[in-house]
Amino acid sequence: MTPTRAEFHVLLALLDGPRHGYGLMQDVEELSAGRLQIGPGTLYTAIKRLRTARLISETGADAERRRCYKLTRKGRTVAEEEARRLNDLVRLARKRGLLPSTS
Amino acid sequence: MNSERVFTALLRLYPRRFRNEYGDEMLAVFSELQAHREGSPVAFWAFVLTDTLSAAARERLEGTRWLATAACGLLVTAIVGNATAWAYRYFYHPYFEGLTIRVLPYGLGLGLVLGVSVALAQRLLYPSSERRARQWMLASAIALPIVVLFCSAAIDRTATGVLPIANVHPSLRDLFVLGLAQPRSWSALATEFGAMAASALAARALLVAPFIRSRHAH
Repeated sequence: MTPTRAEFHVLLALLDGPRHGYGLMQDVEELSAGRLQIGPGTLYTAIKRLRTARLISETGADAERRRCYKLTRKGRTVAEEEARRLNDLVRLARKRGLLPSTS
Repeated sequence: MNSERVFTALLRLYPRRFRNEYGDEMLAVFSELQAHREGSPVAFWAFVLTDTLSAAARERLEGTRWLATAACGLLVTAIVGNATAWAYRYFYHPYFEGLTIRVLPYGLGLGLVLGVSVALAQRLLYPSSERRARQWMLASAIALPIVVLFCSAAIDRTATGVLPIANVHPSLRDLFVLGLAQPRSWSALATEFGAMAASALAARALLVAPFIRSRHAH
């Protein structure tokens, strides 16, 4: 599956280890430098889709008994593929002069 | 009415299964979000409302995709099936006297059309291959019997020439209402149903299964 923007950010947030819902929301905002703010609705529809596709799985509850989620091996592979795809697009945009060259 | 109660009321916009699975967690996240919020309450509630409305609409739409898939398969197969029957009637010539459309190949052909149309509709509507695989059976189970009823009736009309020649261009009413007549016999219906199911499954195996296997290999 191709993850949406919110789903990809959730996958990136989980690379550092298991997170609960609110922790994921904070991480997504931090990772996107405040450009992407997701509410409970977007977060849990993304979690549902990612769980259905077996990209993330539920792990034990934390100290405050909040349900936590972790990245699966398949989730990591999909995140890598998506990152590679986006990287190729950026490279193409640079080649076409849409973005400034890094060299 | 406090904020949690308003959010609990908003949760009712989501499908029940989703609410049962994630409702409590969403409420807990909402409480934490509210406790740490910065900015005006109006901006906060505008954010929560737009997020809830868009997410609930997406989730509701997700729940009806199987119906759209079944409808797509049904529509394409009914059109192809009826068009075949009508073409036979239209181009009928006394030279072909006694020649009828055989139930078995007709069923096999329509099953193939159904399998292909459902598989293509699913490729468009379902981004997740695992989910697509599960929904396929449900969509086909609904679409198959209806299509069989339609097309059996279409064969019946074609073979017996029940309808006058002026009706060779079927209206939508002909296609969907007159099509639901009694099939010629139960054995013909059973043969056609079996043939359709077999070829629809074969089409599914050819079109969808390799894709699913390649996904599982990752």
